[in-house]
Amino acid sequence: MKVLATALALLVTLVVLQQAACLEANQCMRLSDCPTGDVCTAGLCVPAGITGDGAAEGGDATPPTQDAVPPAESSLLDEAAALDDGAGDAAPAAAD
Amino acid sequence: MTRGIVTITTAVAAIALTSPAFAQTLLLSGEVGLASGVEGGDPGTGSTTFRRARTRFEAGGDLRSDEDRVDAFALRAFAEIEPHVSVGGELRYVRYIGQHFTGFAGFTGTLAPHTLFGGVVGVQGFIPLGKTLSLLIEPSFSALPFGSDLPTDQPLLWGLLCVGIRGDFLAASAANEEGPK
Repeated sequence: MKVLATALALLVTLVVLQQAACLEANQCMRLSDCPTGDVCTAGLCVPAGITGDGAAEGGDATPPTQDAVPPAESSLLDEAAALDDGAGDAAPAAAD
Repeated sequence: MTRGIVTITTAVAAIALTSPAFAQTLLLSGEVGLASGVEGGDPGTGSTTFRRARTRFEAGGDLRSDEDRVDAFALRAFAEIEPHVSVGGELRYVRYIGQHFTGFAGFTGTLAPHTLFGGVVGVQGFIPLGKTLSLLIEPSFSALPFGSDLPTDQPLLWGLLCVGIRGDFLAASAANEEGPK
């Protein structure tokens, strides 16, 4: 009886440890997982008032990616447009 | 007159011949242990995920009558101690299946810093360590669909294994010193 119970306990312990080793980390599953002032949204702790996709609650529905274009990327686009304009001006000159 | 004498004689005889009732004795057992396991739920991602459950310290006891040693009621308090702290408790109906094995079902939940409420089922095994002490091994499963600690309306699941010490500490008389036993 003792051997059977001990074996059962060891088996359950091993199963639990094996499960725990495969678990996902850095996620919240309960509000109390998050620091005070944060809420658990879509599995992540975010400051209260911010949804899991980064949008501010109560604000407009503009996706954050449209506002989040880096300035460097914008200037690159401007430069590319300027080069296109320059090439368009140069082509007739070469034809002449 | 004769009818009265017969009635009184019968009543006195009935009272005198009745055997005295023995006081019911309550059997108290106490348990302390550490528990952990797996915690699962859908935190809003649309899929159920699992992780290691918080480690918790548990303490409690169960009470049953010596006239009905099969059925018992138990109270259990617990404190989750890492990685986050909370306190809670359980109320259980316990069914003894032999001397070293029980099954139980009841209500469980946390009270602070946020609330959680749900049900719990499990079994207990006792490995005797002496006359009154036993090693306690208790796997349990809980589902908690209510409370302010839930980020969504999906229930939180706990699969826990508690290992601890159990003691049959006290056999208290319900009559509470009501004359010699």
